[in-house]
Amino acid sequence: MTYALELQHVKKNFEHFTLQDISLALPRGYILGLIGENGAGKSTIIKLLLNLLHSDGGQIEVLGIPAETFSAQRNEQIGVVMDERGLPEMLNLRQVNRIMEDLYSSWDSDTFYSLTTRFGLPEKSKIKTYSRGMKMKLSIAVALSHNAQLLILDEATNGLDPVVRDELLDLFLEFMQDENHAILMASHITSDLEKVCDHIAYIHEGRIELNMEKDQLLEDYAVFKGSEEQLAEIPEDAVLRVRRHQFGLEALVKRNEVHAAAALERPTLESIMLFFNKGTRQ
Amino acid sequence: MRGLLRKDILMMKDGIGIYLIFIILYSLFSFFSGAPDIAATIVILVMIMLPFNTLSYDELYQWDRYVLTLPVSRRQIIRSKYVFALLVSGAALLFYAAMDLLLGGDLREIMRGCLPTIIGGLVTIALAFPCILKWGQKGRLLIVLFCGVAGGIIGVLGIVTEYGGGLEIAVSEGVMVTESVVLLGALLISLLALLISYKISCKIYEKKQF
Repeated sequence: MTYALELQHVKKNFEHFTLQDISLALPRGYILGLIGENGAGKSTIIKLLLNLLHSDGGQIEVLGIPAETFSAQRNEQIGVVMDERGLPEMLNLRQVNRIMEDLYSSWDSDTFYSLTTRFGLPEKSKIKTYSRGMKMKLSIAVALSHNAQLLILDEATNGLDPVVRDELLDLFLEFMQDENHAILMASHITSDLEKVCDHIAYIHEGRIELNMEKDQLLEDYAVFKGSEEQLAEIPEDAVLRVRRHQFGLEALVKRNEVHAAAALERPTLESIMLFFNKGTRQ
Repeated sequence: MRGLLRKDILMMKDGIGIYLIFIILYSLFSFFSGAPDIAATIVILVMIMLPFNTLSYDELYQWDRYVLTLPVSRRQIIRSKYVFALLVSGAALLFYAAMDLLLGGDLREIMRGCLPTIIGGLVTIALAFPCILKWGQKGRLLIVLFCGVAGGIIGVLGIVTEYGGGLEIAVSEGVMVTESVVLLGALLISLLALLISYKISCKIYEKKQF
């Protein structure tokens, strides 16, 4: 199996935050979703992958090349979207096209204009007149117009309305029609990731708490709702996290280890994230 | 690198309007008063401002972070900034020369009027670029200090050319050099300073994290 990106035991120390022993791999043909609360370390991982930050340990490879080694050829094959900023806002779409034509040897103006037309982006207006959604669409059009094999998206759907988000998710799925392609998507809009991702990695306080196939994650885990007495009947090893509230409790449990009669619900990525974030071990 | 230069030129086009008004007004004033130095000073001040403006815009729109994800190396990014500064300096020099020739001046007058300010501008850029790359906004505060240094250089060169006896001045005991040599020597030194500054900026930028 060839990986689009791979992190092995990566560490990064800041004054008030440490990214600890991160190991992740994204095979080609897959979409990996990175979830976690604000400040959990998602953007730090992306910055390490893009060599915007330098790691304090471990190995990082992007498209088979160490992240800290500059490679124009590798960067040609990566499309990056980091929130809506990056492109100077006094430029218009035509000027962006001319600049990118100079920078990317594989820049495809036809693809760029076909995407911007599809997105309804005005050609002559300056980017600063665009809405947040339009700016994001422009960044995505740039990322998809140079035959990239890997998309790295950091909060690419944040702050966008559901219609635009759905449109963009469809576009990402179109991109994945080629089995050599791969996407890394960091977001705290877990519903978006639930729609498109194959793998999910959950990061909490700089550590990876969960890293598995999305379907397996949602099938293997379940949400139990009941009382303390009912919880006591569930084997201790089967209970991952418990959240107690005024009217009872909820627990994230391993579905196969819980008695069939217990009332279990299918979890969502959001509920799993909340269990790990707010819940206790017992 | 062409794309990076194109980006800076296109960005500059957006904010050039207000500068152009100043340049045109002062050019007209220079033209009618027969003193090209006034317009030259404004043009050269604009020349100093523009490369700094591109750095500010890069930071404002987070292009400085985004550009590192494109197929250009950190060294190419820095090189493009220095090349841009040289291109703008060249354009300012040409503008001044055209203005001076239009007013019936000659090559020596062009050198006397224009080179000290160009040299001051290049020295300011050479000193300030590494500081801005290293410290961002805080580094920008040092521009004021560096402008002071540049102002001193301009002043000294101005005195040299003004009171140098027209063609010859004594720079040390027994050695006579023409003012042209002083000015060209100073220009070469400022270019050398720019080269050293470029090397330092490359080193700073290689290590910079975003």
